[in-house]
Amino acid sequence: MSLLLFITVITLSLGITTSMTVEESKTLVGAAEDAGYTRVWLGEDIFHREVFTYLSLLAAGGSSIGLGVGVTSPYVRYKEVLAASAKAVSELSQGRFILGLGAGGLPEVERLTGSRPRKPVSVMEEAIKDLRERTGLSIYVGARGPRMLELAGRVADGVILSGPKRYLDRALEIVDEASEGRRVRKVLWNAFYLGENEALLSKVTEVMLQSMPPFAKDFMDRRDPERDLCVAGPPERVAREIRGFEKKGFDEVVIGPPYGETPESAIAEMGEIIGDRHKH
Amino acid sequence: MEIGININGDLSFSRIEEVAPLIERLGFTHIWVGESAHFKHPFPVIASIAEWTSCIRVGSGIISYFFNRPLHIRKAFETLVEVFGSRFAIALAPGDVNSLRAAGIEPARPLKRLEETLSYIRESGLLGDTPVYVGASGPKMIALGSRLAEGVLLNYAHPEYVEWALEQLSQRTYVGVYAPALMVPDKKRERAALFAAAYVAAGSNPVFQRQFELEEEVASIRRILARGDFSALADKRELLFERFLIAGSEREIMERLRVFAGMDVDQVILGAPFAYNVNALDAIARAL
Repeated sequence: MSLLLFITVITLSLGITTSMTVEESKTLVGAAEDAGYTRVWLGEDIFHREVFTYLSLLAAGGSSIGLGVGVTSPYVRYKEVLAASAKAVSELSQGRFILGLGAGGLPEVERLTGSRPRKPVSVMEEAIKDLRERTGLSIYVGARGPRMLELAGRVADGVILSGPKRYLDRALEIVDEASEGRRVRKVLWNAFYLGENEALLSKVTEVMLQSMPPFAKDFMDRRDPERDLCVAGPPERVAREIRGFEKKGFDEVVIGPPYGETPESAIAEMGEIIGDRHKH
Repeated sequence: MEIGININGDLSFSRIEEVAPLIERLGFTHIWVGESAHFKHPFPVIASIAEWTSCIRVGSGIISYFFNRPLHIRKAFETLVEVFGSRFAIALAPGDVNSLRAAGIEPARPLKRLEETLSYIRESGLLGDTPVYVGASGPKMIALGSRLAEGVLLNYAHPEYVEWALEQLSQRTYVGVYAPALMVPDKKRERAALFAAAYVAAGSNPVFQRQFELEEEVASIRRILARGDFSALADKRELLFERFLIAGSEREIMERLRVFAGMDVDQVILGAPFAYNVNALDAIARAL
């Protein structure tokens, strides 16, 4: 019986960030909704648009898809403000909201708060407990280092992962071990590109490497970092990779930037590919 | 004189979706959304009101620059202006000292922080003609606000108090009068109105209290609020209704608005719980 609980059918969600205009995002969200995606994750770029205002515009505009912050940092807002904002978006989206927390790009946090974030793991643990108590919401954690992964496994409702494939295997192990059989949902958010565009993938990979902690970097496939860090390629290849993630135990894969040559059609096409696969 | 209406994040979104378009249809000029530790945060409320109305100006009235980082205040409005154009207003204030302290925030050097927040917001370049006002009740804040911001929103309901506050302006600027309001009789909302007024009185400025010999009354109201002794507030009903609320029949409220217009006030904001009674909204809109 217990095995059955862990058999998952991977679902798709859309990844957008506050560096994109709301108008742009609304088009993509519409495409994802039509294609049967589970939810939209909005990543907060600290110095871009305000994340809860942004989500509210998506929710109040009549979108019925699930919404999540993926992620915001507990360092950048007082917990009262974070709770009052998250509760509001949850009500506005009729309960289809997940609060994703991550220590955040530490240099950005430092630039904002004027001091280097200390003790991110214990700050995060306290934030999860506090916000869960204040809001009653599902809380996911964007985790990378081993201690944060362990924390996510132990207390979060879900974990959002990104990084090289062998790292992901290790990360899932740590989460599973810490969860002691408790259900922790697993979301993969690596760069995504439907189609071929080597130049763009190299650029994206370079950006990802800049913010990758050493623990994850150690697992890199240095011969082909692009393929290791991006879910990319023609439809068959991407479908095969997603099937691989499903086997590893992921519940959800994020179709995020840079999407494909035409983001809207890449999002729609992915819906067809994964939807079809489910039917067969 | 413009008439604005305040609604807060204590209303459900489904209620906000009904009331906000009604306020716009009735011809009021602004919807102001307040902030409190007990309400939904103002940004989602302002964003959804903007989505559900078409041209009325929507403002944060007020938002605390201690509770919220200036970054987030600026970014929230930049996000809104980018989508809807210039139909917003920002009103800043330090916020309620007791709530701030309860959250572990010490509101140190409020005037300096206001100055910094104002200049940070001004640097944006992405806010169109979004005015930034300062919510004020003390003489220093009124003076600074009138000098540095596009205007001040005075947290007073009584003409005598407003007259005193106007004397504190360092220069003539846009002036709003922002007070809790209630059209009576309204048994259902009287308690909420009494509380709103009690919080304004309890948070009032010491210089103002001395000027109007209110120190003892304010101290006693503070004790009542701290004890949570709601029935004791009823003993203060007369003072609170007379001095800290814009309350009365339709005729009396209209009379109060005329007095403010005569004092060259630019906007009166009828604060919650006024708008929670649709008939009151309707009556005042027709009378205007």
